[in-house]
Order: sequence, then C-alpha cells, then structure tokens
Amino acid sequence: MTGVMISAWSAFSPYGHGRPAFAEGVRGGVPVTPTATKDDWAAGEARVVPDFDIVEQLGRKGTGSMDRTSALAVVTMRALQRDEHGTVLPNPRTGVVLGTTSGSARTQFEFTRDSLTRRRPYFVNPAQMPFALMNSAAAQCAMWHGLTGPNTTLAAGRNSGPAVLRYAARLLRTGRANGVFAGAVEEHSGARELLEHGGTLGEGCVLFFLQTADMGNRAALAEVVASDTRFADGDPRRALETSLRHVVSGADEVWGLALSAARPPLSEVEDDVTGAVLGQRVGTVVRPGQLIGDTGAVSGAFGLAALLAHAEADPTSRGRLAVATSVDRDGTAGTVVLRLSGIAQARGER
Amino acid sequence: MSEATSRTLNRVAVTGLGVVSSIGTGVAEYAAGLRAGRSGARPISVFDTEGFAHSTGCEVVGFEPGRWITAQPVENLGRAAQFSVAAARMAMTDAGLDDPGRAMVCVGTTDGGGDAGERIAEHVVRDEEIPAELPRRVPAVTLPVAVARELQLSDVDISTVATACAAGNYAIGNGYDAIAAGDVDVALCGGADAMCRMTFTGFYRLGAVDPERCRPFDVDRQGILTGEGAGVLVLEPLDRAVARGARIYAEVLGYGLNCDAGHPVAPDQDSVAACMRLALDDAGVTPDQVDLISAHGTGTKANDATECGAIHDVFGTPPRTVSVKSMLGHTMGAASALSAIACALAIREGFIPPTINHVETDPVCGIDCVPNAAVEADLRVVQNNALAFGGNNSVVLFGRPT
Repeated sequence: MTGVMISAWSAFSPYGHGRPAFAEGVRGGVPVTPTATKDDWAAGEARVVPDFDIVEQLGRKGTGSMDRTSALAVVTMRALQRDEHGTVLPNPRTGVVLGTTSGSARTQFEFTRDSLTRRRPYFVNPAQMPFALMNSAAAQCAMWHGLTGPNTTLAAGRNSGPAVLRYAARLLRTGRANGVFAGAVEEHSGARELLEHGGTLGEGCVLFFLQTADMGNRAALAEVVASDTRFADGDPRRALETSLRHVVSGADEVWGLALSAARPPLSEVEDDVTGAVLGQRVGTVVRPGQLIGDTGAVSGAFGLAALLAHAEADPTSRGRLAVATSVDRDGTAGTVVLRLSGIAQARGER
Repeated sequence: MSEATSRTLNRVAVTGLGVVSSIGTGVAEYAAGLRAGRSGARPISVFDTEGFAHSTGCEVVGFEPGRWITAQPVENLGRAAQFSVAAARMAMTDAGLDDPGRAMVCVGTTDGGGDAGERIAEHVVRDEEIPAELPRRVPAVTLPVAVARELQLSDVDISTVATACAAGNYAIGNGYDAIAAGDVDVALCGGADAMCRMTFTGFYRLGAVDPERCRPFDVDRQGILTGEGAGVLVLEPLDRAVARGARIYAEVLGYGLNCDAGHPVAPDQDSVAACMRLALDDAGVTPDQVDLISAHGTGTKANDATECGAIHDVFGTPPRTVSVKSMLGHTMGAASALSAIACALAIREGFIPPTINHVETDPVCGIDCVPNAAVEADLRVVQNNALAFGGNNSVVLFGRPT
C-alpha cells in the first residue's frame, strides 16, 4: 500500500482528444485504422492522434519551434484540468513526472541535419534546442500551467508506467510534492520509425493526477497499490514473472489486466506469464497496443487508462485489483497494481 | 521530508565513488586532478568540427571500456552507457560491496544515446544505410540497464532521469529517498553523458561556448566548454555502512527540487534561491552552517550572475563558492554527479577544489571562488547546485558523517 491515489486522468490518443474519446474507443474495442505518414526521415503506416495541429491547439506564441511531444503533454494536462472543472487545482508544490523513450527524436534529427547540411554547421535554429532535450515536455507543462514543484523526466521507455508511478509516489510520500501530474508521452515521426523495429507505431499522452489519500478532496478512482520493476539479462519472461509474483499474491482479487506490448514476441511473453501467474479467470483483459499501435513509453499508461475506462462501466470492479504489465526486449519488466474504487470520473468535457 | 516522517527514516551514507572524466578516471585520479586544478580542455575529436571557428572541449581520452565492461559486448553500448558501466563498476568496487541486495540504479543524463541518434541522422542525410547497432544504442534507458546487466542485478529499481543538466542531482535525490525510506538496500546513482554534436552546436549558436577555456565567475568569461564523463555514487543506510565498517565519504543530508516554470533557457534567480532554501530545509541546515558551495557555475554570463545572485539572496555573506566545470567543462547530465563526488571528496579529504582559469572575479558574482589553487579546509556541510534548461533546479546537501 502506498496511500497514493489516482484522482483523475486524461489522454490524447489515436482515438481522439481527451478522456472520453479514449474511454469510448477502448470500450468499443475497434482498432484505429492506420494512416499513411511521411516526413523527411521515413514513411510508414501509423496510428496518430487525429487532427492534432500544435498552433491550432496552443496558438502561435511559444510554439514556433515546439516539438509534438511537448505539445501533446501540454494539451493533455489542459484537458485533465478542464475535465475536472477546477477540482484539480495546481499549487506551488504540484509536480510533474513524465515518461519518455528519447524525447522528440524528430527534433533532435532535424537539429543535427541542419548542422550537417547548411552553409555553416552552426546555422541551426537556437529556439529549437530546448525542445530537442528530453526534459522538454515536462518543462513545457510547467511553463504552460505554472507548476513550480518537482519536475522530472524519466526516460524509462516501455517500462515508464511502473517507473513513473513509483517515482511520483515517492515524491508524494516524502512530501516533496502535494500533487503530481504523472504519465508518459510519445510522438510519432519518421525519426521514430527509424529507431523502432517493425510493427505499427502509435502515439499519444496519458496523464494521471495523483495525491496521497489525506490530500485528496474528492473520491479517488483508484489507489496505486504497487509499482515494481525487475531485470533479468535478456530474459524478459523471467523478469516479468518475478515482478508479477512479487506484487500479486492471488488471482482471485484481480478484476482486470492490461498487457502493454503491441506485438510478438513481447506480447506473447506477457500472455504466457500472466496466464501462468493469474490463470485464465481474469474477466477484463485489455491490449491497447492492438487498438492504438505501439505507443512506446505510453504503452503502460494507456493500459492503466484503459482499465480505468472499463472499470467505470463495470460495477463488479469495485474494490478489486487492476494489474498492468510492461516488458522490454532488454530483459526489463514491470508491474503496476491499482485497487479500483469503482467510482466513475463521469463529469467531463465532451 | 515532513517532521512527522523524518524520525523513522534511515540516514544515508555515501560509501563508494566511480568517475570517468577528462581530468582523470577512477576516484584517486579524479581527486588528484581536483587538488591539482587540472584542466580537461583539449581539441574535440569525437565529432567533425569543421566549419566551427573554435572547438575546444573536455573530452575523455584514453578510455578503455574493456577494463570495466566484461558481461556484455562493448559494441552494443553507446559511449554514455560505457561510461555509466565503468563508473558504476568502480563505485561498487570502491564501496567494497559484492551483493547489493535490493538495488536501485538511477542514471541522470541530458542526451542519453543521442550521439548514436546523430549518427543515424547523418547516415540518412548522406543517403547511407544505417548500421544495425545504432538504433539500439539510442534509448536513454540503455544507460542504467547496461549497469544492471554488468553488475548482475535482478531485484532492481532501474531508471534514467532525463532532466538535462541537473539530472545527476535528481538521481542522487531519488537514491536518497529510496534508501531513507528503506525501499532499497543500495542505490547506485549519478549521471553520464557523451560529447555530442547537438549540445556543442546549440551552445555555440547561442554564443555560449568559450573558445579556449572555461572561466566561471571571471569578468571575462565567455561561456561553457562542452564535456563528457560519468559519476556514480553508492548510497546505503548510514547504520549499515557503519556496521560493515565501510569507508564513509559523506552523508547525504537532504535535497530540494523545483521548476522555474518560466523561460526555457534563462535561469530565474528567485526560483534558484527557492530551490536552495528547499534543500537547506530538507537537510535541517541553516545557511550559516554551509562551508562550501559547489556551484552549477557553467561560465556563461547569465548563469553565473543569476546563480550568484540567488546565493547572495539565500546566504547574505556566501560561503566559498567554486565551479569544478572550470576543470571538467560542462558534462551535462554527468555534471552534478561529478560535482557531488567532488563535494564528497572535499569533505572526506579536507580540501576545496579550485575554480581554475580565473583572473578577475566579476563584481556581479561577488563570491570567493577559490581561484586557481586548491586550499585545505575543514568542511562540515557542502552544498551542490544544479540548474538545467527547462528550469529544472536541484540542490543536494552533503555533510561530514557524525
């Protein structure tokens, strides 16, 4: 038990803008149709956030060189706050903890290209530099929303779910923050196509608002019961099994399960291990990767969001556990366990 | 920490140090370099600098990855990951720890595997095939994962803190909280970065790279020198360290984090001051008890003036304030980790590393930067500052173990 509660969440996803679009999308269970994408780096079929234009979302000021990763995070945070009609009130000790793989690969590649191809190697756009750094999205969230608390970027890749929740819980338990926007973000680009191995890529951002139980001024959606990561060199199966057995004592309490990998062989690892540890009795199993593509660092957070979306429509979830696993080729794996309150985050923007 | 919880927490000791730097690899060489005021400045060789009017940097030379990396193919790792493994291996050996038990590996970085990303971009620009090993070197998580693999850790809290140039202090803070709360038995934390074209070019374009040498707080300072390296600290509960007879360099007394939430690159004096106050409060230390500040001290006009202004705001009459970046250059994500190691060594060995290349202190800075030569000093409390693009500030307090 951590005493850390999820009081609200929002998402920008290939299903659309905001929480309701994602919640209805995953409950409907129809995969988003990939679209043809192409930029200076690569072409590919991908599942992208539809109709997402940075200037349209945020205006012209401060967005001239902004990367898509930062923009997705800033608007998701805005949606979360609007969704809650003022019940999520940031203060000077509100923190931000964001997961990423490598930040905006596209911005980094463009900056390098300009240096290599222009008449002088330093004829680069200096305004682009802060957006090329991995901490850009978290820092932009702080700037746009006035958040002066701890502001941390964790480059945890596919295990960003457990890494971010564990770190955020630590900030809350130590009193370093009294509320945390925690989640992850990944943009689609040709640059990312060059860095990933096959499969249909997706993109988006998920943010949860976390508080300790004594700070919450409203009913929470769930408690973060555990967030754990393990490593077994080159053996993600063993890493995941160790993690899962460590945090889940019995399958009976488990209402729902989210598997983060979008395709084999990692999806098979998750299927096999969760089957072996939890049996086949878990009623609700979500695989957001099959619906919205491989969202990299956000895959774990999308899994948790999908479970919360299903839970609010299913009264039998109340008081039971939701488990989200994550796994990567290098042999890292992790598990997040939530206890669901069964309360719906019903009010909200449409 | 709040008063209510602080009494039940472990005190946290620094028991092992590992260093890869331009002024020396290994803690003994590094300490000797700090004492001697050695400069790591030399011509940059790791990327093509043609077309730049000047290209001095603090590059690590003579690094032999095979000395430290034995459990995995060296060619699978990017340069920053290699530095991370080497520094972690050295730190564990230095701490005399074989089986770490429940461990944390937390590495701070600005660019992660970004140097490999640059080479991928270069191959695309030149219409060449991308070598297969490059994409897997890019993700920043490869830094701590390579460490976990090398040290054969399994029950491990792995993370990469990517808060740019303050990342090392963030990682140390994370390790401090995990040890204090008893979440892990040993924390390996610090920072690593490899020299890359992007940071050099960006700072150069901003007019913030000195042509020859880094001279923090000097009236004629012209900016940073980009650098590289890694620093890893082993943290463990103080009582356990005492019980096993470990050498204790220093105690981590506490830390502070905040965010300017203002300008993306210009530091905010009030916010930096607020971060120092957070750290002092967390450590239970008053400003007059601080004997030394190891400043962020990049050597840019803006940083040094703003940081020193904040120090004056908090301390009134500041303690001696040095910048090890005068020797190491700006090693980005490694910077505050290498600076933290300098703090621990200063406490343990009783000396203050100098600010080298110093001619005349800028009155705007108005601090005693211990110019050019190390001095002996009896240090009880030392403060380590870190500021980053994005307004990510972090300050850590170290104390002499009592």
